[in-house]
Amino acid sequence: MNLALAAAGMLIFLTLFLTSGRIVAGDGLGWDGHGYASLMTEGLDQGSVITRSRPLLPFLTRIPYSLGLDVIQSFQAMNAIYAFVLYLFVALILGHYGVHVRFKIVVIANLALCIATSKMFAYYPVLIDLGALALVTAAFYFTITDRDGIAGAVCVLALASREFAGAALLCGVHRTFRQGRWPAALWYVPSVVVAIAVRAATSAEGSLTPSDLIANLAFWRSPMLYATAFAYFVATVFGGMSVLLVVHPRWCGSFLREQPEQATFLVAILGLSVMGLDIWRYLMFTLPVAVALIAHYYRDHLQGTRLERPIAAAMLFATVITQRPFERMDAAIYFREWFPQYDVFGGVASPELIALWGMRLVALTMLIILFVSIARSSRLQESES
Amino acid sequence: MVQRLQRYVSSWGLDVRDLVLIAALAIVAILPVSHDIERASKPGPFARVAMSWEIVNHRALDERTLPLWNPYQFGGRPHLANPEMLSLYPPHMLLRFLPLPLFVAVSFALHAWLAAAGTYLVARMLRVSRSAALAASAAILFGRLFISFEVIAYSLDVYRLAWLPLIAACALRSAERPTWLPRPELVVVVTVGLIASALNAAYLLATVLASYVFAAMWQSPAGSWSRHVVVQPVILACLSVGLSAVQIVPAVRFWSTVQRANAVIPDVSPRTLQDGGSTQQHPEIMDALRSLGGRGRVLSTCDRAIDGSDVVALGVPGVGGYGGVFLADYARFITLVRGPQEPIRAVFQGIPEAASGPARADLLSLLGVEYLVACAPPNPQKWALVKESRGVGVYRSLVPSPRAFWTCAPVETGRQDIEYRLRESSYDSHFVLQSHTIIHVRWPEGISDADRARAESELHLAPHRDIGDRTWQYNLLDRSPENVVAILAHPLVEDTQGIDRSTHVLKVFASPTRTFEESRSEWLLGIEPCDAPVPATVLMQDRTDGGMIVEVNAPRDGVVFFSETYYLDRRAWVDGKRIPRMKVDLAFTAVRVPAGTHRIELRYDTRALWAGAALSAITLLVWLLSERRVRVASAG
Repeated sequence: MNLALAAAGMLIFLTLFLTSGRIVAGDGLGWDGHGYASLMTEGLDQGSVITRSRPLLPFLTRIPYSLGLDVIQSFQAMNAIYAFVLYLFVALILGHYGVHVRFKIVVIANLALCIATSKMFAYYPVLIDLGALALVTAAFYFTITDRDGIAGAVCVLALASREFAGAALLCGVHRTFRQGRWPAALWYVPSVVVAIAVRAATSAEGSLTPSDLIANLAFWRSPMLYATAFAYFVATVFGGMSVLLVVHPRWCGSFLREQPEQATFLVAILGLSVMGLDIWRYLMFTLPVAVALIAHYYRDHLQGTRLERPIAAAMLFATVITQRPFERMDAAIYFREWFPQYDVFGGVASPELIALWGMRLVALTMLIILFVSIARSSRLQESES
Repeated sequence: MVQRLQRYVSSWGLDVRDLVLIAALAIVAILPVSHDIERASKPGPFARVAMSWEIVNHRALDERTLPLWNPYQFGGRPHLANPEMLSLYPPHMLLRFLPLPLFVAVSFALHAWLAAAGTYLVARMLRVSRSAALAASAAILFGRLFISFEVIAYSLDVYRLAWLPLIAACALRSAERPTWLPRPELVVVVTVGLIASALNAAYLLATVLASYVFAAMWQSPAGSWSRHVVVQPVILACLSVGLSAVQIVPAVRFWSTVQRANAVIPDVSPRTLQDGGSTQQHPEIMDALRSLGGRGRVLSTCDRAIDGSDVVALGVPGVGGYGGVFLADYARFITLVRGPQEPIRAVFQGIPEAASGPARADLLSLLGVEYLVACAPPNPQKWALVKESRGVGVYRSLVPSPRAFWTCAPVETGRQDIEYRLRESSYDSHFVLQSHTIIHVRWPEGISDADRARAESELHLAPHRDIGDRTWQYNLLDRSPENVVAILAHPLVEDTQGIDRSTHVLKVFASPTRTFEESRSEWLLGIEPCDAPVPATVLMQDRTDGGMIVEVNAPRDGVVFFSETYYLDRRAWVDGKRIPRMKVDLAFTAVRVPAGTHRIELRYDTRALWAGAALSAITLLVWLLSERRVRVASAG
């Protein structure tokens, strides 16, 4: 069943691939895509300093490339596989927490319609983030199911793909310590070695340093603007799923206190996210914890109640409203809808952009009211009955 | 009646309070109408494109005809057959009596309300509270539809998205109906939504399927129940396609004919201020063009003053435009007009060098251009100033090109051959192709454009390419020894290449003849010697029904050439008898005529439209009968 769900999610991803249009910048490679394409076609010592530190997935993309596909098609083919793997491990995490299959369908459909977990890569295929997210999610799944050997191995792959995989590593190590199984933490040593080796091999002038990251905190000098943008993307990064979670902060907090290693994972990603301008492109790596949270929320509040159907509908509704999955993309929409912060912080935001995002914030407020109202009305009905 | 209405409303799980709230949503939706009217009166580049399409629909209504043809862009192109023009979109057909700015504003408000009301219905059907349903509706209003005019005006999203919540509500309701026939409301909204989506069914399919899957997941499947949940969407698809056949059949016919001709090229976005396009209209220039009466074609080489969308608003025909060039050959021809320096490009964005550069005047005349809007003064030997404002001028051609004229019969050949010959040779005054004879001329330092243009005109030199250092390549139109001597003796000519200065003999040769392995499916004018062209008298032109009537006195057997873009479905009648028309010079229409006086008529073929309408009517009949049968059966 999980395989079927992953295939269905991949099908939705492919639908977005057909309906979203394709990026034209850099002859279809995009901006970072040039670096990844060079890594694949010319060698692992090519590309920019940053893309060189993420060698695994461009290396794997050589397989479809060697079969005769061109650069973009090779990345597209790999993204379809990554989407399948990602949705499969999401289904497995949900299954681990005992979520009913119909709610699994809702969650996977929700993620397959989101910008961060699907549409971005349908429009801008020459990236490795979807693959890295799939590996991080897989590592997280094996960690929470206490299969430390496999988790350590997947962490090795994930860390060779994207630096955010460090969160999965911390999560695994923390969990083994918390459970008093500290020898099992040794399984994660190879991934630490790989992380150090990759960074050592690729570090050069121009690579990001901790001081660069701290300097990036300058965005917060416009606290209202940046905090608003950050809050918006935290609430909407996974569409209705994240909206549902942010309206229950206290419950989320209590869950994370019970599972502190997941809090570690979350804090690591959030910590890195606040130091970058791309916001949701970093926040997307919180997905495994978000899935675990939604699974627990389902078990605690939705399963077998009359809330299940309206909340599922509201989640999909919020996803459609905030992610606009079937919108045909172009460069103008890409920056206006997905990265408005570039114009806002660049000081070139038009009054129309400000008005548009003002409307979006109102829409988000309404969505939050929707979720709260559904929960309250259901509670009222139950108390009356 | 009231009781029946009450029963119907309560069957949706609604009561009076819900109706009041839905009405209140309408009030919120119309709040921005006055703002939108203001914006629609001064639209930006994106809004102007969408509005230019609707102008054709409005104008057809004024002409009491169908909007079959857009005579204002790209030398004319099919209109109704292109579903993006929304000519047959029912809400717009009902609103079309309104003036355009009000029409646009009311349409946006209507669709915002439809989306919000649909969302409210879905929420109530899922048994959530009124406040939650209201919050969901407000999220729709603020999230997508209740946003700035310019952002949504160009996209069809506002129309295609507006129906989705209502479709979801009807689909959820229909899934509860234990019959194979979907509920009538669902059939109606999906049909209208399909037309609103310009027949792009991706959103509709996703919404209908998701709604049925959602209904199936949360309801206990029982014997026949699960069957109808599968059958209903299939029947729904058939009914919706059948009912919207009136739009689908012409669209399929249109796309199949242009696809067959390998003639579709991608859409072109309007240019914005950032990439040098116009963001606001140039009122003085617009007024000047409007005052010309819309008789001659307009070519704008100055996008910042006026572009292809503006000419539609003015009611003047143009050779440019935005929103997709359907006939790639037209774009290819335009590339030839641009001159040899221009690369082949898949889009048409005007002819920048037409004013004074190497644009091909002979080919420009085939486009029927009479007025030029230019940022820099064009060759005064060819263009006379009509109006100048803030550095932008409107110029009238001193050698007006007739929109239709008699000439000798073309020769059948292939596309590559046509393109090669048009590139390597030029038409003379008799519309006979003469191979290029390219010479170089160096002008004195500091020569003005006007002086150079005057000398070019005197010496019969057609600019071919500016190769820098004051030196130009020219196609020598008059190769007589007298003209060669005149070139060498001209006081402004510093130096030449291609002429032996001692013997006054041309040292250049005509382009070599090439042969191409290709099927001979098209026609080329001017291969054989011919008399001077005879302009036709235009009795009717630039109509939204695609009609054009000319009279011509043909000195002998030949063709009447029309500066009208060739489309398969624009057919020709000579003296009331339908005859085949020909595709000449890559992109144009010509009709064979014998010697004598003739009346030639071009009409847009409406058979696909009526076939579609008949199919829609049959589907409607079958559906109504089936619905009656289902109701009788369920009542029994």
